[in-house]
Amino acid sequence: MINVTIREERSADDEILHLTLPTLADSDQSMERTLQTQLPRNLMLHVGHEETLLERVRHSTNRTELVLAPVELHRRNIQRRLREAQLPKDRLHFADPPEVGRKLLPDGQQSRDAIDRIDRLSMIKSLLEENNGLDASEPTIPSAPQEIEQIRTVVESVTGFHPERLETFHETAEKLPSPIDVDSTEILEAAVTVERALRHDTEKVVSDVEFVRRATQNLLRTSGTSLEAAFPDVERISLVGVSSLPAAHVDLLHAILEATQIPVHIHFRRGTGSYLSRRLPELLDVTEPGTVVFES
Amino acid sequence: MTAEDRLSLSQPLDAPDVPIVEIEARTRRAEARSVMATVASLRDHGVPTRDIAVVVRDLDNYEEPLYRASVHYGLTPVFWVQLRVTQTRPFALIESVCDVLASNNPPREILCRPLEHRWAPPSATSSEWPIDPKTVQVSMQALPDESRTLSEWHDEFEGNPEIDERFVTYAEWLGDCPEPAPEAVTNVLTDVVETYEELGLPVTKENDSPSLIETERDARATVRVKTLVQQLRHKYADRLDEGTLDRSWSSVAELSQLIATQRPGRRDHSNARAVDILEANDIWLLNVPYVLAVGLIDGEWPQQTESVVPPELQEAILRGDGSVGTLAPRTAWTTGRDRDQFDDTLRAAGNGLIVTRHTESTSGEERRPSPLLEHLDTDLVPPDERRQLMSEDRELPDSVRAMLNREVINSE
Repeated sequence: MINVTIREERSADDEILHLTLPTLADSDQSMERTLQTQLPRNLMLHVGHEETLLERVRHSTNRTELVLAPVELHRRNIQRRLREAQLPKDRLHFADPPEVGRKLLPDGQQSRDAIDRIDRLSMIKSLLEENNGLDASEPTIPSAPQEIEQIRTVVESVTGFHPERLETFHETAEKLPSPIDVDSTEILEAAVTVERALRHDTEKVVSDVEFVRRATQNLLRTSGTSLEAAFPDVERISLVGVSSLPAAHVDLLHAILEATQIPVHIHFRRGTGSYLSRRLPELLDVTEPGTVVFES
Repeated sequence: MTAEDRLSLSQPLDAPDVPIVEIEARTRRAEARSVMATVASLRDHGVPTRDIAVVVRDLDNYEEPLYRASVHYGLTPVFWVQLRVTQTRPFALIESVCDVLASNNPPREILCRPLEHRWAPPSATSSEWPIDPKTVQVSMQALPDESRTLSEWHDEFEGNPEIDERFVTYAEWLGDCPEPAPEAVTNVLTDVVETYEELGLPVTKENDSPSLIETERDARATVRVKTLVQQLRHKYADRLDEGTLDRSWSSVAELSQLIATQRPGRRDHSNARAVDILEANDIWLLNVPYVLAVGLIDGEWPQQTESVVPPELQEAILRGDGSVGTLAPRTAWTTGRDRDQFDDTLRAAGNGLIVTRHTESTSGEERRPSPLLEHLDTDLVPPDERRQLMSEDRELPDSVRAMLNREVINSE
């Protein structure tokens, strides 16, 4: 296997760009160059090459890297590799995105509880019984709470309920051939209706993902000071072992890159990494990340 | 975004730097046997257990056959799998207690089930409790085969000389159980599970094999059930407030079932002498000399999950043309996740990779090789070498043995 690491010479404004892809094909070379010019400063993408994570620990100062590892067992795998390589374990601080999100909230909001999937299912069940704007008689809208929750989570993952993305989703759905256009629009509407109703019906936070979105907004509002306050020793942030990038996670990273000077590394896996890294510049092309269509 | 970018989700994965041997078996069970025969033979050749990992996409189909095959070869497996807490004894115990309390007229089987699951009174000492299974059975058979109220059962226990006297203690405890208010439910069930930890768990340990696999599972389940009882208190109180559940022990049982099946915990420590058997999502970043990737079957690995979103809409979002590019694509709509996991498996192997598959389903239908194998250059083990591997004087296939030599060459 050929490994490629391209490091741009550091330019005057101390821009760091670093992209590693697993293979070098001729056509890929120009892609890498183009991609680099499209990526924000301070954002580094890795496809495979997980060892670079260990390398960073090897060369780290006494400050820490905040590692977002959505798969719980991956944290243990990283710790095992550190142990095998006899590297210090305290240079990495592990958390999942909702944990980080919660810590980035204003003081008064940190202790708020989120409802979980079981709670949501039971609330959706009541909504269906009341027929509260949720019309299960439409053929595309399932009558089982589990399936409605699935629609909500899919639309949440694709759009983050961000106004621009919802609009784009709607336009995309409408352009599809009939009757798929209608089905797709109904799915979108059902998801937004359910999310709105859940927000209306609970005093608590509607899901863990909501912590991430609120943290994103708060980061931008505080110009990054919420991050410095919550993680004063952090010199780097990384998102590792991912096979997909939900909108809420993209937006959190987007806000970090916009509001702070902290470098961000994303470690993709090889099966999806080339694809996701090529999609990334456009995913960052939204205004006010973390915003939702609902009134708070 | 170009069409080519979209295609990168289906491009062949890079071959790993290590040799790949392929073992083909007829059935899933035979496949599991050849996996464990290979593990046992690697150990015969001095490979330490920690240098071997067995990787499966989804343990649901393979846990049982791999477990049986492990036992056959005298190996101790550790399944890095979600603990199915509902299938454990401490969970069965609290569920059976709820069932008795929920019933106005329990039949003798329902009544005695908590005793079968080692119920003991909170103040009990280990010399008397739990009641041994045989005594529970003998006493139960001496009871009338009919439904009665708890106080009627209490009188029956007292008056019937064939019933072990500890049954009276049990009936008294049942009679003293409070109405199912959230606080009271938590107290009752916490007592039950803590007493189990003190008196029931040691019984598991006594009956366990030296590897203490059952004890470990039971201990973990006890911890999980304690947490569950705490969660139960809040959820039950919320449901009562909302009016979505009625105040009853059967609601408590139902809610426990729901909480328990949501997010089971994982095993959190490994046994150094045991063979690690992991799901493919968990192998990321690991570096293990010998990796056996099991179940490379078309339709099983990779497997595409059903989605509520129409395929045409999925495709438009995946392509991400123009402004659609701001929508976050779900790689779960493709085989992306499975590709990632297979690639992680390929990279994890430091010395050699062994891929296995079977060719027939239990109903005799053909099972085809996974498309993930198409672009890999594998060395298929010939039938006579496979027979040799499975025989009494098992021998590693030549191609696997070559991996061992490779290790020697590499280290020289």
